[in-house]
Amino acid sequence: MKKASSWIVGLLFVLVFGVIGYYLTLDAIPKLIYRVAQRRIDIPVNTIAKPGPIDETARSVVMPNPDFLYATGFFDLDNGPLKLRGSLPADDYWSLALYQPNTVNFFVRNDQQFNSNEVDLVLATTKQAKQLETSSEVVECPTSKGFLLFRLLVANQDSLNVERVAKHQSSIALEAFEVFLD
Amino acid sequence: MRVKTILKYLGLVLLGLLLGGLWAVYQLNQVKTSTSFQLENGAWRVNPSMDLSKNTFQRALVSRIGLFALRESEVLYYVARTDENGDPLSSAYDYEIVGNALDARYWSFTLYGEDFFLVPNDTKQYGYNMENMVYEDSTQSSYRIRLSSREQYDNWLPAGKEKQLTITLRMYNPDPTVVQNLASVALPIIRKIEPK
Repeated sequence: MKKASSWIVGLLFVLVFGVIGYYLTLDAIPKLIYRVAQRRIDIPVNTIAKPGPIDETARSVVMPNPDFLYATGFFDLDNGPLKLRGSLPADDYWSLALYQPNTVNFFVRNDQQFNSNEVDLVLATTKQAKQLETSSEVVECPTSKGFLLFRLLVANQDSLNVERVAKHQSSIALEAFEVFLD
Repeated sequence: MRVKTILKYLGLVLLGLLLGGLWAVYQLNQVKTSTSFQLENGAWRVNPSMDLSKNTFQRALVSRIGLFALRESEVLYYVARTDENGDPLSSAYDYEIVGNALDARYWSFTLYGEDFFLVPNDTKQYGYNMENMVYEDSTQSSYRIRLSSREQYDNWLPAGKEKQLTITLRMYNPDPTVVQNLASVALPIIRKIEPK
């Protein structure tokens, strides 16, 4: 009897921690993949990568879209808010998306939803946002670290059009907020 | 005796965690489970909700094959890995993707290989979109994309040498009628042409 109850207790242990292990693993996978992407994209934190047109050599992130020029960056707000700015195309689709380190997209806005093609944002944690005084729009980030991704449409891949959009891509910048005291 | 008991239960905890983790990975690799929350529309599959904050399993799955995807409010991702008969898409065969213009601000087709990256080819053609498509009619509505490893004319999408192909149809800012009818909206058919 004692042996049987010991087996049952053991089995219960395995089952309960099996369920915990199941959800811990599912929760960990996106975070791990995020870190792998960070290593592959390989840029310093709080800087913007502006790769050229996407082709078969683009292997940092799966399923890249060759119709876009990307501007990407891993932001870290531990040392304070960050200013994100850029002069984006006036007539073409573009969008800005922000992600948490668990890959959840917590902010997305496209060109038609911005008031202007001149992007002027401050990224801040909720705590930082309460202490900010700025005329720029503040985007509250649920985590102090994350990933930002601009998508600039280049449907027509002729060199002049790519060059035109690339100029807008090159204007995107991410810098410490103190540099731009309002 | 006490130490032995503690070690025994510690071992059971670790065993439970390991088995749970292995089960999670196994389920992610099972197509049936991994597509259980998707809607079907012919050969196409779409996630009606890309709010990954709510579903741990979906978040793990999407991070593997669609990292940094956008919410459904911005883009719809229809993915096809089979033709209209349910046979896996492969470079061993030729296909036609036949359809009409879609109701979205911008739409495009992109081809990926078995590793979910762009298929290498000399022409650097990885997809077609509403602007570079050669249409079959003067109203620029109907089109035919030719998916093949052999050179084709008009809208040739080089298929390389891939055992499994994936076609992603992206619809940016789709019309509300599309969003409300994900499983029934008219989408292109993917038809195998001839075996090689």
